Amino acid sequence: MHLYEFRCNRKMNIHLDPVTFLENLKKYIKALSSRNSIKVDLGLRCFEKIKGKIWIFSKSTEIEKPLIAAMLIVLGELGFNAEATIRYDLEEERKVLVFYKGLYGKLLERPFNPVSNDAKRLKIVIVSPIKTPNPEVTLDPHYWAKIFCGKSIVPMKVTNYRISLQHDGKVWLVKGTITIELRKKSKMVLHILRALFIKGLGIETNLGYGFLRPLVN
Amino acid sequence: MSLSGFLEYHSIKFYVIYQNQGLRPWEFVGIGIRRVLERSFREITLRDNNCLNLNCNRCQDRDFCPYFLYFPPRSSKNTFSYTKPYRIRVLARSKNTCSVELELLKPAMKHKKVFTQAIENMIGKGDYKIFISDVSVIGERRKFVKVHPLPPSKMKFIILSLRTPLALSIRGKYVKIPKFNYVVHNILTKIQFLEAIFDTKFPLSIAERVYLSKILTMLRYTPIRLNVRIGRITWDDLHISPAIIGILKFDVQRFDENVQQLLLKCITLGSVIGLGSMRIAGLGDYTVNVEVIS
Repeated sequence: MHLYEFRCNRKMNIHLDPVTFLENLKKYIKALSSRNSIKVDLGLRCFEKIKGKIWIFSKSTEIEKPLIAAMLIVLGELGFNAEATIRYDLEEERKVLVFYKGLYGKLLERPFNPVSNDAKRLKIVIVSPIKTPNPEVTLDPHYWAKIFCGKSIVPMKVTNYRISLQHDGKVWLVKGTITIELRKKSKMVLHILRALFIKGLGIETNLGYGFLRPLVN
Repeated sequence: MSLSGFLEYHSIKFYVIYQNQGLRPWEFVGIGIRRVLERSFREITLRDNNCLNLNCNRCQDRDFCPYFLYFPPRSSKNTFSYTKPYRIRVLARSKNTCSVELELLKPAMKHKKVFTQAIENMIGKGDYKIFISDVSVIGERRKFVKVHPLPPSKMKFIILSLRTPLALSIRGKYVKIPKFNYVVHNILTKIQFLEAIFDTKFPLSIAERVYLSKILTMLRYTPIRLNVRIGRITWDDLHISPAIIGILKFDVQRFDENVQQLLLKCITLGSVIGLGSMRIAGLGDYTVNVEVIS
C-alpha cells in the first residue's frame, strides 16, 4: 500500500474530472508496462488545486515506474510539469521516498521525512473537508491517539483552532487548520501524526472521512 | 427610571495595585480580585449586621444577608449559587497593576454602597496568588445597553469576540464546540435563574422566549466559524478545564429578518449578563458585532 504525491509546477486552475483522469492514467500505465496482463489498482485521493498537487493511492509497487511515467505524460497533456513525486509507505511509515528527475531524464530516488523528530509545534491542515457526525470527537487529537495507538494520554495539546463547521443535513463538514503543541516525548505523537498523514481519517476509523496534513510550524 | 428595551447596570471602575505571589502570565487576575472582594464584602456585612455566626449555611438570617445573596459559600452545590447579578471585568493589566470594572445588574444595585465600601476595604488582603496593596475607585456610572437590535439590512454573521475565556468542558475530556444552541440556551437559563432569585425582569418577552426555545434544535446546525486559542482555567472546584479566547462567527443568513433580530437581541443581552457555562458564571465576557450582506 503506497501513497504518491505529485507536485506540479503551478496552480491547477482547470476543472479535472476524477473518473476520466483515472481512466486516462490507467490506459497509459497499461501501454507503458512490459507485462500485458497487469492489474492496475489505483485510487485518486484528492486534487489540491491551489498548491498544484495530486495524491494517488496504489496497492502494488509493480506499477510504480509506469505510474510515474504515465503521470508525467497525462500532466504534460494538460499543460503541467510534475516537479517531484513522493512515495509514502503505509506499512512502514519511515520509508518515504522522493522521486526526481536526474541527468538525462533518469528517475532518481532519495529518502524524505515529512515531519522531523524535533518538531515542537505542528500545524494540521484539513486538506479535504472532514465529514463527521460528531465534530467534538473528530477534532480532539487525544481521540486520534486512542484509535491509532490505543493510548488515551499523549503528550500533546491543541493550542489553536481555525476552522469552519457546516452541516449539510446529515453530517458536519469541517475545514481549516489546527495547531498542536508537542511536549517532551514527541516520538509517539509523530508516529500518530504520520499515520494520520498517510492513512487519513476514515480508513478503519470512526473519526469521519477526510484528509489531514501536518506541517512543522 | 427604567427605559423599555434597554438594560440598565451600574459600573464601578477601580484601579488595583497588587503583589504577585506566584501568579503566572496566563492565569487570570480577575479570579483573585473577585475572591478578595468577597472577603472584604463579608467583613463589611458582618460588621454592619453585628453578625457572629461564622457558618453561613446554618445562619437563620441568611435570606436577608447581602453576602449570602451575592457570594454564596462554595460548598453549596446549588446551580443557583453560581448565577450572580454582577461581573468583574479586567480592562487592562500590566505586571503589578490592573484596572477593573465591576458591573452591577439591576438586582444588585440596591447594595452598590456596600460594594463600593468593600472595594475600598480590599487593601491588605490576599487570595489566589495575589496580595492587594492599594485600591482606588476611579468612578461610578449608571449605564444603559441597547437591546433593541436595529440592523440596517439582512445579516450575514453574528460575531462574538470573546474577551475572557469561555470554559467549554468541565468534566469531559473532549473540547466542546460552542454551537449556537449552546450559547442561546445558556443565556436563556441564566436569565431565568436571575429572574427567579432576584425578582427582576429582563427585556425579553415570554413569546420571544418560547420561540427561542422552540428553535433551539434548529440552531444546533447553524454554520459556525471558530478562530480561537485554547487555554486552561484553574478554579477551586474544577481544577483544570479547557477554555477558548478568540472569535466565533455564526452564519445566520438562512433565518428570516425577524428571527435574526431576535437572536441578536438575545446575544446582546448575554453580552451584559455574561455567557458563562452554568457552573462558572462570570466567565465568558464577549462583545457582539454584526456582518451585513453588502
